Amino acid sequence: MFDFLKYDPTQPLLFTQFYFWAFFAIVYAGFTLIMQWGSVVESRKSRVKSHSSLSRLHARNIYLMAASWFFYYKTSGIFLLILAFITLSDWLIGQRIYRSASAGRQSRAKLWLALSVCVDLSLLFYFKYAYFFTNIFNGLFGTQAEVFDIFAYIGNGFSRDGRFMVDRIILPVGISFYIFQVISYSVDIYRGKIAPVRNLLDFGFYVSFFPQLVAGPIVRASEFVPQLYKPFFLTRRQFGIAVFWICNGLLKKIILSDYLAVNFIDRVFQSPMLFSGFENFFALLTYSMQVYADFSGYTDIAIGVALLMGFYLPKNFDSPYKSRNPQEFWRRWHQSLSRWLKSYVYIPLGGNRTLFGRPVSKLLSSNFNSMLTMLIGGLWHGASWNFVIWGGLNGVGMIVNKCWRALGEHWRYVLMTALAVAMVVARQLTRDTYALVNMVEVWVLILWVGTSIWYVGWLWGVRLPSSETQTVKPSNRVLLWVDNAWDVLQTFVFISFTRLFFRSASNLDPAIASREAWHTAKQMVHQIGCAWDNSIILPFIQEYKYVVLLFVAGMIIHWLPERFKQRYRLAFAALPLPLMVLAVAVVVLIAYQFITADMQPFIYFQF
Amino acid sequence: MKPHQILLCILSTFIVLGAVCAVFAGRSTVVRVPTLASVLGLSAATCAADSMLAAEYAVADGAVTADSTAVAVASDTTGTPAPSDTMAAPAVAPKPVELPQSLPQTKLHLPTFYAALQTSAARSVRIVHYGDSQIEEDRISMILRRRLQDRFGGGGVGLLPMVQTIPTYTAKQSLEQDGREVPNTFVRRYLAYGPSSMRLKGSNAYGPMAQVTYVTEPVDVQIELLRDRVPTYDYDRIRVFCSDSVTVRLVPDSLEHARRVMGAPLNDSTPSAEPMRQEMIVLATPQRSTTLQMGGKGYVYGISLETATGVQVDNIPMRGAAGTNFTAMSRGHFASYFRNTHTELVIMQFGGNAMPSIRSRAAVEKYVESMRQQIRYMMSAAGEASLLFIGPSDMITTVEGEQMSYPMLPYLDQALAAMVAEQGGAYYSLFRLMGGAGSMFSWRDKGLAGEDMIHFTRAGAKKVGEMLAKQLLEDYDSVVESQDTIVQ
Repeated sequence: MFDFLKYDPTQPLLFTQFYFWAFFAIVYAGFTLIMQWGSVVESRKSRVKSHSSLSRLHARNIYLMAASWFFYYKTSGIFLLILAFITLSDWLIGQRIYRSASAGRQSRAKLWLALSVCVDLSLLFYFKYAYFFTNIFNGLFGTQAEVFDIFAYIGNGFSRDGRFMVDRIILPVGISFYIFQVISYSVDIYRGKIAPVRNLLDFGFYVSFFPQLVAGPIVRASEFVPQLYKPFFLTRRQFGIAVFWICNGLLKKIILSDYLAVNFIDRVFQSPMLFSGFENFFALLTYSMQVYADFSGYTDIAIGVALLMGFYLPKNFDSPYKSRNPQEFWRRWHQSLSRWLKSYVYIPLGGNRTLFGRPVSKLLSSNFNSMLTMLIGGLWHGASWNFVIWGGLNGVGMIVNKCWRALGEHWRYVLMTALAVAMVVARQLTRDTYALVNMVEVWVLILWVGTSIWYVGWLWGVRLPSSETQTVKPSNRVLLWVDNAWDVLQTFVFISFTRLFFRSASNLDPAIASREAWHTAKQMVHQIGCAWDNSIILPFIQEYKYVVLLFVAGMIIHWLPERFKQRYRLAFAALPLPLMVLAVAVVVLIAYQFITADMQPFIYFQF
Repeated sequence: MKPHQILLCILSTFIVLGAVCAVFAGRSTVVRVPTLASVLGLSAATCAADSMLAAEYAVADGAVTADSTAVAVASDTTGTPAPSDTMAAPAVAPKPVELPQSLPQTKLHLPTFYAALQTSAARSVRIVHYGDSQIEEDRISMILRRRLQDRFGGGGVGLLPMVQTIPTYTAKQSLEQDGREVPNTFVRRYLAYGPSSMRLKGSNAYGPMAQVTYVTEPVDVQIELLRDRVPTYDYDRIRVFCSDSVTVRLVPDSLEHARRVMGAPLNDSTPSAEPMRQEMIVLATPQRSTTLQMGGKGYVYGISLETATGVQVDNIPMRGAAGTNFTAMSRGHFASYFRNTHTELVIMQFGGNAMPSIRSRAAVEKYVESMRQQIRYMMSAAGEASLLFIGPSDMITTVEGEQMSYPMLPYLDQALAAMVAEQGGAYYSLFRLMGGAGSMFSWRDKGLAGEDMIHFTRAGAKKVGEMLAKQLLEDYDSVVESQDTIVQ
């Protein structure tokens, strides 16, 4: 019984497992007691109602912080101390920043802010990037340096039983998220956007709130801290929506993410050479679906769970694969991170005004700073060059697309034709032996065909109406739809391709991440570019029919109009409570069918 | 809504689901419903060890069961790095598994091989490692090669196909014509395994690699040994196995010290005693990279990079094969190769690809009988060489909604072991050495096996290679030691 209270790395509290929901039910029972008990006390002591109400909120916050710390302890064990340290340090420094700024001592406030950011980033760099920078150092100087965990060494000094491994640095779960969260807190105080949280425990609650602690969304202090002092309020419809998000997230996570991953994607990324070019390419596309379903599913559950306790977490995904270009994609994907990067990296770098503090043209500053922001964003996702490449590719995509849209029709056609010719010549020269050249040539030729058709239409006087125009003729609607679909498809394929580098570097031991990730990425490019065989496509679809069906179904649901989705969300939220309970039970049983489904047999198509 | 109303809804959902589990668990074959005990984690371990074959699996030599592996998991409190902190499923440091370093594996009885190793200072001793996709990329063989070459000398990577369709960690190959790289499709490949469209028409002469390349116009083969994974020692001779009409030239000529041709000489219409011609090129100095100009028109069975003395290890993966197709290939080609390369050990590593279709004892027996024929065939081709059979690893499937080892796997492992012993070979039970039924979960958690819980990761393959090399070396040492004792 009491084992449940102990840290067990094989039994973390995952949203998709029974134990998390048992934990949540118990936490909610306590939460209910606090809220109900507080109401009774308030009604008896109506004179001191406001004071009592505040006490109740403090009690709620302290209680939820304790629950959150338990949640983190179950997930990360002793790393709870880091969370505690970060909480204390940023709370103390936040007070100093505020006092200095209020007294008009801006330089001192800036120093305190720098201290806060340094402490936070030092911890992040130590735990997350130690291997990465050690590898770079070794590469530059030809040394054989290895990481040494000073915290484990100190811990062994105390425990005297050598229980901690000093030659490995373990990455604490969720550290990237809560470090960014506390940085936003300090910067927002410095900028005068918020006042510091007076109570340490309230601040601890903000930093550690369990639904979003390990995978976001990254909640900025200005969005969350005011909620600490607001009483619980949830309408019947909001309750229904919260339950909908939880069910939606569970289905996304278990059906679209886990099933696709286990039965197809992980196999390909583990051994790309076992699969043909088409299978590797399809794995990239399905990985795009998987990573979205996984991440947004988790966020949906986090939003739903938080809402049941009366807290509003920001939306993190807005149908990102409906994006027509990479910029739009990053406005719709992991929105809390994109906003964070914009506020705390892109704008401090100079935004679209300055470059290294010097005023330059908007084109130069915005593109350079965007690129730098994407590279930093890439590195935030993981400590490997693959993540940097992934971020860089996204940055390049954004800049190229921006420049492309600024061009006139003639120039677009001329440029695309020149590029197509260049790629055809390059492929001829390399005699099909360079996978990347082969891949890019095919993609450029597809783009050239699309550009040519559009250009011919444009010469014939066909003009695309503005999508905002109220009176669009039916024939123009088709044109708009085709144009939109073309852009969405291009963006989806581009984003999927960049994820080649992202997925290759994911879930790896940091000690070998860079080498293994690069190796996997190279193999996948090789297979897509040099081992493509169209005759495999049909048998593949037949043998992997469930994987293909799920991917297609997932994409169709994703691309459904937002109004339609809104309608069925509200319909669910309006269900009578007994029916809603039954619906949740059905959802859980459906998810269980996928958890326990037979594994897709391993089939080789290429020899 | 009030919190107590919400709590009531949460509890109602639990009650409904609990009732469904209590009433319907195990009753429906269409919709799977878990038992309350399994939801609460109160049920016994779900690995195949508790299957009907558990008793049969409890082999006398003390193989570690999944349960004992689990004990090893739970008893260790140290951690390894969590890979990422960004994904929805929190990355948890997997607990180190007490991996089998010295599990009781009965000694590998390979007398001819051990005796040959003792003479390796004066001559070449070759090991030919056949297997399925588990050994692709030279993953397991390269470790074995390195450890044996460290001890007994030798160099090179052994036999390679003319066209490298699956890159390896040890050698990089490419084709060139007129100084420019050409794709692998420049030459035609024929396989004895895989799709029937890739078979030879009217012939079974696939050669020792179970694949053959047909050359129709001049092409250069570039081969370079790689250093980044497990560096291989340099080679001092190259041997090309081909048909009579193929010409072989080393570029530049100055690297060539001497040449010896075995089998039918060029322009000789007399039938040869050997089914393959062998061009052996002795190099002036040890090399790491080579360019061979192949001309004429005919079949190339393989290119061996080797040394005159020490140990050579060939890696011959056969993707998707269950090991039952050796008898469909020319025995003469195998025999010629084994004889001329001083092959002293043939390793066959199969069973994994057969497992998904084996669902009964009868199916196990049928497969084992088929493998018996294959082993006899290969032993007859290999003459006095020893034979080592590496059985299938633990593999996970889903049975009635629960993930577990293939139920017939323990029985197959046992049946293969018995059959191989009958045939005079040695059996290496990868299944038992991994930890038995259910051990694949631990290997997966440790990053040694992939999420498909069938294939090893690179780290897992390395682990298997190290275990195998260690076993061979220890057994060799004990044989030598016992010989010394007798002499004294």
